[in-house]
Amino acid sequence: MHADVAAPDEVLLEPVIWSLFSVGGFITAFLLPVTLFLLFFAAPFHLWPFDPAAYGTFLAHWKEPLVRLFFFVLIGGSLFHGTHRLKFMLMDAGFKGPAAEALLDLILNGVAIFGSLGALYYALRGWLF
Amino acid sequence: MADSEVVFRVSRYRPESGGRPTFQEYRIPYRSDMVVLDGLNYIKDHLDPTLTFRWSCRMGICGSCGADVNGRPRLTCGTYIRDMRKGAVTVEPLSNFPILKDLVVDFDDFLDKLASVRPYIVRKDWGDLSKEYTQYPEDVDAYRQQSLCINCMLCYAACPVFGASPEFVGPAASALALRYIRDTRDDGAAERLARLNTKTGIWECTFVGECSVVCPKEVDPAAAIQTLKFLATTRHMRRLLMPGSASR
Repeated sequence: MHADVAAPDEVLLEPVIWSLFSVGGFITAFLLPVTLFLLFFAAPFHLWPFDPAAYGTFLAHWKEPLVRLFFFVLIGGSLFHGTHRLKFMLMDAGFKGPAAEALLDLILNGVAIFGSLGALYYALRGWLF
Repeated sequence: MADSEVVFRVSRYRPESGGRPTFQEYRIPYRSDMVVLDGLNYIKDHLDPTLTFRWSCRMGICGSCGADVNGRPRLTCGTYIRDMRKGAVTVEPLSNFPILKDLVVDFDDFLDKLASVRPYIVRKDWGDLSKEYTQYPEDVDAYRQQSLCINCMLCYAACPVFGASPEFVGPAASALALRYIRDTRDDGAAERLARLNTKTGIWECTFVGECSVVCPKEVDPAAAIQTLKFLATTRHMRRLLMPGSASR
């Protein structure tokens, strides 16, 4: 296609999905490993002073909006990043073509959207309703 | 003086006879300072004048002599035989392109893609052409890395996405689009980002990164594409949330 030939139409959804993937990548790289380490390794294996991460203490902090926002962003961002990455891994492995990509979009974006909505529900439960 | 011999396995394809490419072996005198292009030229000059390949500058500037050497895209003028002498030196045409003859491939598709991103300075108003458009060292630094691209096509030969989806605009054209978007004299960012924000544009890239690994000029097209994704996304969001705002 030469410059004087009409370019293909711009896409609407890809930049939005990519921005969620990109933000999710930042979250997954920096926040998720630390959170998983503190909650699932440091506290149970007594690598960290236990009390600050004890269930009762955690539950008390859970009432704070910033803590709820943190976990909503952490879970939603990680889901969007992980599903987008998984989609392209599957495409690189040969799962290509319009029908296959539409199916991947439906399943993987669906998982990310419903997972994020689930995280949003728990973030708002007991606070707004 | 040659101190031994080296075996070249060179892919041959003769379009007039049809069929698939085959390999032909040549034994050539070896010196430790020889590059692969020297070997090909020795074959052409002394053994087989029918062997066809592109080359020009012999110093990694023209980008003409790219080929798959021992399975990896390289500039044959910058690849020393001594670095790959275990066994034969296998030379094939660049992957992912139609072969015209022997090691010569067809770049027409790339030239169309390159033209589509407008690889030149676009201005809304050229103003007074008798005056210089001042650029400071930091302005040049912003696009210096991408401006080093020599269109050698090694990045396209290494890109599995281009191999699977030939309509993908690809690494070099994207890097050159970023080169002009980052130029302070240019006003064509919106048109380039509109071209790249398409089904065949930057979103095809899955960030494998092989383009940057094989690039002989360290242009880092993979990073350029990620930067373009960010620029296209911010432009897209701005257009959605603030219609009518400046699109650069």
